[in-house]
Order: sequence, then structure tokens, then C-alpha cells
Amino acid sequence: MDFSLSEQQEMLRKIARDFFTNELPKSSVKEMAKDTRGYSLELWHKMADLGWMGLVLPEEYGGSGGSFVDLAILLEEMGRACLPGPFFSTVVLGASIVMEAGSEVQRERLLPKLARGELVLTLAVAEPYVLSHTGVFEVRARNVEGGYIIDGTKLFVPDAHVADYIICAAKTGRGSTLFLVDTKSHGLSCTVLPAMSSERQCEVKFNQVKVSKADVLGKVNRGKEYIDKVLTRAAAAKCAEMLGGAEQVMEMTVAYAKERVQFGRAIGAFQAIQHHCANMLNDLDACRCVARRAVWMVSEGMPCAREVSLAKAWVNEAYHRMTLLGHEIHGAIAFQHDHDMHLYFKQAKLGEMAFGDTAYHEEIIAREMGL
Amino acid sequence: MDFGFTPEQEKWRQEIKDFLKDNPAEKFPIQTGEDSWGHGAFSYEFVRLLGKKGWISLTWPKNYGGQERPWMDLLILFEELALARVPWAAAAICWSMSNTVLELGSEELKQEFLPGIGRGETILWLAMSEPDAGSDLLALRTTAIEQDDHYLVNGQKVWSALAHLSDYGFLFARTETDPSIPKWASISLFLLDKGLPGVTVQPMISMYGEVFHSEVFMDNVRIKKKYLLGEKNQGVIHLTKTLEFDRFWARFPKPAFCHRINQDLVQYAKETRRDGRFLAKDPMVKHKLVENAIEIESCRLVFWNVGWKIDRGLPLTYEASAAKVLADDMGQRFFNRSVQVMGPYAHLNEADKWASLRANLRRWYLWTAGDSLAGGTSEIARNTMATTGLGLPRK
Repeated sequence: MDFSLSEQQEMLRKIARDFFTNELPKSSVKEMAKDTRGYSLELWHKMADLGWMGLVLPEEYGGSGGSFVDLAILLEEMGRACLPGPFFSTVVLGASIVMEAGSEVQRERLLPKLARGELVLTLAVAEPYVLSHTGVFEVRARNVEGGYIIDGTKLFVPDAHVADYIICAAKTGRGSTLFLVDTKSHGLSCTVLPAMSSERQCEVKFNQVKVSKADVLGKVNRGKEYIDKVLTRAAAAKCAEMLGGAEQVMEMTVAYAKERVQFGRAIGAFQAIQHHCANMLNDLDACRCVARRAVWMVSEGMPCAREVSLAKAWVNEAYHRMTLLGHEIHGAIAFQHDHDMHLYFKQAKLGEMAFGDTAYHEEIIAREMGL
Repeated sequence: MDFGFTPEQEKWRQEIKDFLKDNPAEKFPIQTGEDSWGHGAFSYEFVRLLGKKGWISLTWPKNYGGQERPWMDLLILFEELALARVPWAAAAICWSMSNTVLELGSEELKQEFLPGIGRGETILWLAMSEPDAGSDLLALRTTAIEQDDHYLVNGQKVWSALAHLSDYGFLFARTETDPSIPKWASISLFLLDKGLPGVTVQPMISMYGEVFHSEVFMDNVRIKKKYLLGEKNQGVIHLTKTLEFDRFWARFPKPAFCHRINQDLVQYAKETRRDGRFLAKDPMVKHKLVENAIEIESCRLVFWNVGWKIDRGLPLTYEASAAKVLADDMGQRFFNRSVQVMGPYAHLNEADKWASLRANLRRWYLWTAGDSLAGGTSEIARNTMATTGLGLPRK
């Protein structure tokens, strides 16, 4: 047992922390929330230069062969920094699926570009009436001469407005299949949905979109298996991102409790505030343990459906509690746009709904418990 | 990063499992029933068997009969004992106090006490709280006045857990009565022989109808000077350490214990029909069992994190207090939900295969009213987390 990070991981963490402190002030996070694109291309390319897009990709595809734990450490820092943009969609979802399901040709075509920061990918699962891949998709792919024709609407597709390719899960024959769809395809249209924060989720309409056989990702009718795997990874990765945010909430809240004076003393001297902080600390420590264990198991390639769901279910609820207490302790000032606290309040709720809310993961845990 | 156990540790776990399979709880007479921390019932016979295995002294230096095994091995033992629900309560408490004896005791005291503790024959209890010194422990009034070759002790302790079944009290008493001397420099620690003239142990009947705690009255008790543990007037430092141990080690078994009960409840839900369907098919029952599992697991990982720090020799600041709050909060919700799963059947003690679970659920549930108070209230523990852990101002 070893709960610590390796020296290299500590270094990665420090580099990332310093990078975001210098390059991504919260003012620019807030500006990006109003930006059409939603993120800074300049920052994106700097991140690519640091090798982050290819961190977990094998060297033969231009990556550096890092572990999933390494990626999670990076994601913790991204959560702390409230990084806007398609990193998660491209790296955790897109690259992951291409590695998992893609043919050698597809990998070679996509991954080196992705590692250089020249390609944005995303994954389309949800639909107007289907939230998770456990349902039956209404978006269909019809088998025609030389390929497929996709019809239907996908919803909550992250970063589709800037993606080069959308990996679309569609119903085919006896199951679902993943398709690599060029966003410039004829018949594909994308609308950005109103955002709560800097996230960009889209409605993507497929109107008779034609894809070739070469754009099928993985085996036909086996889409669910790939999505299962990638969503397990994504849920663990999301826990890491939320953990990073939670750490920042803890730190900024305690710092404020020490400096804010009322009734002639720092509010942190009042037991009511101290107990709120203690409760946050327990939630945070547990978040760190469950999230990192989940990430570690993914990294080791162990079966971990139960552990990842346990982590996500816990982090969902604990991070929410923490941000609520963070607001409570900051008082009214954090309700203002100028303040940073609300970025995390939003991040917590967005994270909670991403890659399985608590009820979804409880269902998986129940199954794993034999219920 | 590594959340797994080494092959040696897995082997050790298996060795314990095998031993406990041959020695199930039913084999042993018990003197008092189970608590809600997972220490099991109190059984002299079982604890002596643990002593015979050399497992009480597992981590001690070899010259006191120990095996010098790492803390991780002791933690694994705690988990397995709790999972098996064997009656090891007497040992659970002695572990932390024997460490204090090892750390502070004179050579003479170590030789006198450790072999007996190691064999499971000498049982210690913690004599800390007093009627007017609960959370404000330093307000304790029991005095121990140095005279000739002894200390003359007068006063009263309360909430002395299992004192009625134990041999020696870990006694905190005031050795300086001059009010100008600060409280933290006026308290000392003694080993109090229950058999000394003037010691009266008065068992207290708890809200679940049995004896767990006692009041201990000391009327002109003469404790020989050699039974002073550590330095005179330095008891507060020891007290903090003892509490730290108590908070962490006493609760370490809890997640494993709750996990075992939750497994039994899952089985119960799968086999029990109510109103025409299996309980396990009821979405609300399922939800409760899953919530139990989520909280148990988070709590367990936090405890292992602290245990790992102890094993590594890393300094602890707030962790023991945090673990206490986490485990007690978790336990209160856990037993409440568990009783809800069983419904009114939980109140009964029927002669069927679930009898033990039913009778004990009722018992554990009642225990939860005291869980957050034992070992220091959760409010005091939260104060420690906030001040010592987060550096918030005390005033």
C-alpha cells in the first residue's frame, strides 16, 4: 500500500500547478465562459507543447506512454484551475476510444495529430430521450452500399462545436456501433446549448449523414462494450478533476475563514465555522482516497466497475456538500460574479451529472453487490 | 501509488482467516456483548487464545515477547477480527494502552505488565473521564498526592469501559493541586490495580440494558510510586497520545465490521419476502444497502490512509480525530438504515437464523447514541481538526 505520488508525479503536479497559475487566471476562465469557442487556442497549443494531449498515448503514436494515474494528476490540476476547453473530450473520451476500439489505420491517422494538439475529438452518447448507453439509441445507422447513413439527434455532446470528429454511438441491427464522423460531413449540424459555466455541450443533428465502412470504430454491434469501458475510465477521470476542484475549495475557504473578521475576530475562530471546515476536510480526504483508488485500478487494468462507481457516487455527493459549505463560509460575497467560489459550485454540479450521476452509479454498485 | 496489499500481507490475511474459521465466535463463552465498533464481545477465553498465538504482542519488540511486525499487519488483523465478529473486545482496548506502556514504562513496569498483557491475561481499562471532566478532561479532580513510597489517590472516574471485567486502570490523576500551576503540567498517569484497598468498581447499566461502563471510586488508595507511568506531571502529553490511539485504533475495525453486517443484510434482503416480493427487489431497500456500501468503503479507505501514514512513521496532526468523526457519523447512518431495512423485525429476537443479526442490530443501533461521544465527542474532535489540522485560530 502506498498513498503517495512518485517523485515524477509530484513534478508533473507542480509543473501543471505552476502552468495554470501563470497562464489561466480565473478572470480568463470567466471570459472564456462568454466566448463562442469557449477556450483559448493559445493555451491549448501550449498544453500540447508540454506533451499533455499525448501523455497516456504510446510512444509510437507520438505520446509519452504515461499511466492513467499520471493523467489523473493532470486532471486534478485542471479541475483546480477550472480549465475550459475540449481536453477531457479529446483525451479522456476520444483518444481512449480510438485506443480501445480503433484499427491500426485509424490510430495512426488520428493519434499523432491528437498528441500534437491538432485534433479535437468528442463522444456522442446521450439523446433527447436516452441519457445513458444502457438505453436503446434512437439515433440509427442504416447499412447501405459502401457504408452507413446516420440519422437522429444527439444531445449534451461535449465540445462538438470545435471537434474535428464526433464519435457517435448509433443503433445498428442487433446493438449499437461507434462511428467516427467528420464534423464537416454533409447533413451534420451542431448547436451549442446554453451553458451553466464554461462547459460547452451541443445538440448535434445527423440528417442522412453518410459515413464509410472505414469510419466504423471497433466491431459492429459491439458499441456498448467499448462505451462501457471508456465511461468507466471517464467516470474515474471526472472524479480526479472534481477532487482537484474540491482541494481548491477547501484551501480558499479556510484561507478566507482565517482572514475575514466579524465580531472582532476571524470567523474561523467560531466553532460553527470550524465544524463546517472539519466536515469539508473529512469529505475531501475521503474524495481523495476513493478517487485515487479508482484511478489507480483503472491504471493497473484491474476490473473496477464497483470501485469506480463507489468513487463517483461518493465524490458526486461530497463535492456538492463541500461547495455548499464553501459558499456558506464565504458568505454573500461569493455570490458575486467577481468571486471564484461559484466556478466550483458549478463545476461540482456539472461533474456530478457527467458520466453517471449518483443514481446511475448506485445501480452499478447494486449489481456488483448481487442485488 | 498502490492501493493493494503485498503477497506477504495477503498471506498473513489468509492465515488469520484460516485461524478464525477454526475458531468461530460461537466457540467462546462471553462475559459481555458486542459493541458497535467491531471489537466483538468480551471473552477472556478468546483473548487468551489470541495471546497464545502471539498476536497481541505482534508489533512489540522481541525482548518483550513480541514479533516486531509492522503496523500494517496489526491493521490487517483488526480488519479480519472485525469481519469475523469474534469476541476480541478486551484485546482491542489493551493494544493501544500496551503501546503507551512500551513507550513510557520503566523497565520494571514493562517486565511486570507486558508478558501478562501479551498472553491476554492482564486486561487494562481507560480511567479518564470524571463526572465533571468530560470533554473538559483537564478539569479532572481525582488527586494523587505523593507520600513516602506511594501516591495517595482520592476521587471518582466514570465511563470506565469494561472496568468491571478488567484488572488495571490507566488512571489519569492530578499530582499538583496548587491552582497556580497550569493544568497541563499537573496531571500524571498511573497503572491502578483494581484489587487495591479503597478501589470500588460500580457497574453502570446502559440504555440497552447491559453493563459496559463502570464508575470507579478511589478512597485513600495507595499506589506504589513505581506504578507512575512516564514522568510526573507530564500526563497531558500522554493523554493526547492515548486519545489519538483510542480515536484511530479503536475505530479502525468499524468499516470492516459494518461491511460484514451489510453483507449479511444483502443476503437477508435476497432471501426475505415482504408484502409479496423479496426485499432486494424493493428499490428503497436496495438504495439503503448501496448507500451503506458507499459510505463504508470511503471510510475504510480513509482509515487505511491513516494506517499507512502510521506504518510509514509520518506525523499525524488531525487524522485520528478526523477518522473518529468519519467512522462515528458513518456508523450512525449505517445502523439507522440497517434497522430500516429490517423494519420492526429488527426489534425482535426470534429463534431463527437471523436471530443474531436481529438482536444485535437493535443493540448496535442503540449504541449509536453513544458512538459520537466515546473517545471524545465528535464536536471536540472537529475542533481539533479545525485548529490542529487546518490551522484555524482557537480564539
